[in-house]
Amino acid sequence: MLSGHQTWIFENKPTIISTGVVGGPFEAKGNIPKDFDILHEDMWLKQDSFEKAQQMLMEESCQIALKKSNIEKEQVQFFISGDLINQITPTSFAAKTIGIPYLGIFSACATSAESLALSAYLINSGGAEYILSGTSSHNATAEKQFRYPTEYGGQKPPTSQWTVTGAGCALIAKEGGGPVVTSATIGKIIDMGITDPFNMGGAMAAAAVNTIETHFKERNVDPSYYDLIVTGDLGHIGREVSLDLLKQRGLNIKDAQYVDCGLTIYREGQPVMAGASGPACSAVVTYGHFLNKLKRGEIKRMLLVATGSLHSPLSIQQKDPIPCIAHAVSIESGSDGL
Amino acid sequence: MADKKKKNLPPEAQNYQAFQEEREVKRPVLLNCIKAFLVGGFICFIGQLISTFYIYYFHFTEQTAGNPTTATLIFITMLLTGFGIYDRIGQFAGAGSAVPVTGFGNAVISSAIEYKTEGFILGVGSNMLKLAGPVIVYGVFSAFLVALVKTLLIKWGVI
Amino acid sequence: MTIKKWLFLIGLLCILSSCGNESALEPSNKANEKLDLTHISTKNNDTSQHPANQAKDALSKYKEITEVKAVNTTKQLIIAVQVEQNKRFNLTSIRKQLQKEMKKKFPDHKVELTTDKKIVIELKKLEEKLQSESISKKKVEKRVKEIIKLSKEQT
Repeated sequence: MLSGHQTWIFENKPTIISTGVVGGPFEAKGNIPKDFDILHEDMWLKQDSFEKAQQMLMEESCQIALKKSNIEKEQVQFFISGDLINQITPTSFAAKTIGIPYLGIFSACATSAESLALSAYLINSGGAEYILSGTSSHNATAEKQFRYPTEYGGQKPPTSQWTVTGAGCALIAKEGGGPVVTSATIGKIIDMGITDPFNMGGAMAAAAVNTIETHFKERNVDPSYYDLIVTGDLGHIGREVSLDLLKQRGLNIKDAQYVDCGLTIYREGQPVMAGASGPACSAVVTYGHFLNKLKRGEIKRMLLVATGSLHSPLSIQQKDPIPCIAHAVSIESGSDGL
Repeated sequence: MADKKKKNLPPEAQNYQAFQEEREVKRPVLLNCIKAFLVGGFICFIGQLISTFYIYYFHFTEQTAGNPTTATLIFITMLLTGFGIYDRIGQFAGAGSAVPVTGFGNAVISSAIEYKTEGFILGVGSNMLKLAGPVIVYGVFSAFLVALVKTLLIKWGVI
Repeated sequence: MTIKKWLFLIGLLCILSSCGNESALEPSNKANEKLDLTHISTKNNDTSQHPANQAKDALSKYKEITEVKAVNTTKQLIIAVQVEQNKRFNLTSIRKQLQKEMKKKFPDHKVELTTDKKIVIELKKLEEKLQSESISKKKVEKRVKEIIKLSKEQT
């Protein structure tokens, strides 16, 4: 169970039995369109508002995950999820539609790893048999809340990131075939005094480094144990900063081993500046792209390190630094693979 | 810029910020200036064309052609904003498309479009000037200050 | 950083000072040859354009003036000039200088001098009409009044 100060080891092997991944039009033109279950052509998803569209994304991804697993939704005990928007309403409204007992959580772009870690813990300890864990984000809702109106012609600096439109959901079960969640490290808030909300990658890299370091120490494994270390949405700058810092701290991580969801989802040439971000970024890329790799046997073990910057528009205006967090969850191929 | 702020931070954070800044992609300031100059100049060129058009074909003088020219430019901006073109120009040109009156128009119109889903009173009505409001507030305030200074100078016989 | 700032300041000063200099126009001895002066000759004495023609001659000695149109009635004289592009930085002082000079030269008339393009266009039309003598004295007076009113319109 608890190993060290902030790491859980899941000895009962909670399994990801199915996933549902939904994306928007911008993601369809990206690097990994084949890893999505549904890709929407319309940013609005035929809804009245972008917030409702985000709710639809979440609902759809849950439905797909349930459908693929042949589990009835009455069998699922909990739905653990969250998003970026004020008081996580899109997720709560989606939970209303889905009708499963619901735990709403928030850790910005690290929500995917937080919900996965909590779900695995609950299942591991016998608190549930099936849990739906996921998160969603929508480019237009995030822009509206954190930045400027969508059509405003402001110039974004090269450090800024593009919020993913999409939702990713995983159905975690006590037993069944599929990738196994083996351990999780809950991160601390790391505040390095960075106040620029257009450089979240640079701010979050410190949190990622802290969590990765702690994870290896407390799980007592070497970086070579994992085929891939997948960070959430550090982007170009955050990835470089964190990798250099990890190397400086004496962790032997290879360049090819250290990948970022925010750099995987989009193609070169899409106007995303430093990379993708948003809660859906890590959820969509992990539950779609990387779990598919795991199932195909291309990789055996991966460590998901989802990073989040927990600021609000208000805290930025009041010149507060950005508090950052990173949660790590290790996903390994099932017993047949090992 | 944040030397003052940095002093209050723990050394660890200061080291990290320095470490991070080395790897941060800087804004290409000079290139942005050149782009802004060219695009801003082009917008003004269009404005001059419209202004000349009004002088030649309508009953406007150089003095009075300003208002209809502004209105026409804002109308064009409205179309470009609505069709989702102006934000792309803005990403390329930066200040070049933000400083002319078209930038002001874009700020108002984009907010109006964005908050339409919250209704016409509390959505569009109260958020329309969210970005453009400061321009009006400080425009009026600085005009007041300049007028005050001029009045005093005239009164004291300086000018 | 400080060097850059200094360079910037010096550059700014250079630009500002180059704008501020040589505000007044210097008259040359020769008449400006590029200037297209149309002396309007009317047989009808009532609409004689003698003062307007005189004004054009007087203004033609400034080589910075690229276009000049003028029309007069018995009481009023309206002149519109176009100034070389790079002299337009000092447009206001040039206008004041010329206005003063013209007022001195024509004490019997109420002189209006403008640099507005629109007035140039309007006066050109009126001059053409006067040249072809297809306009009555009354109409000229009315038109001149209208143009003066237009030139004084403010936003």
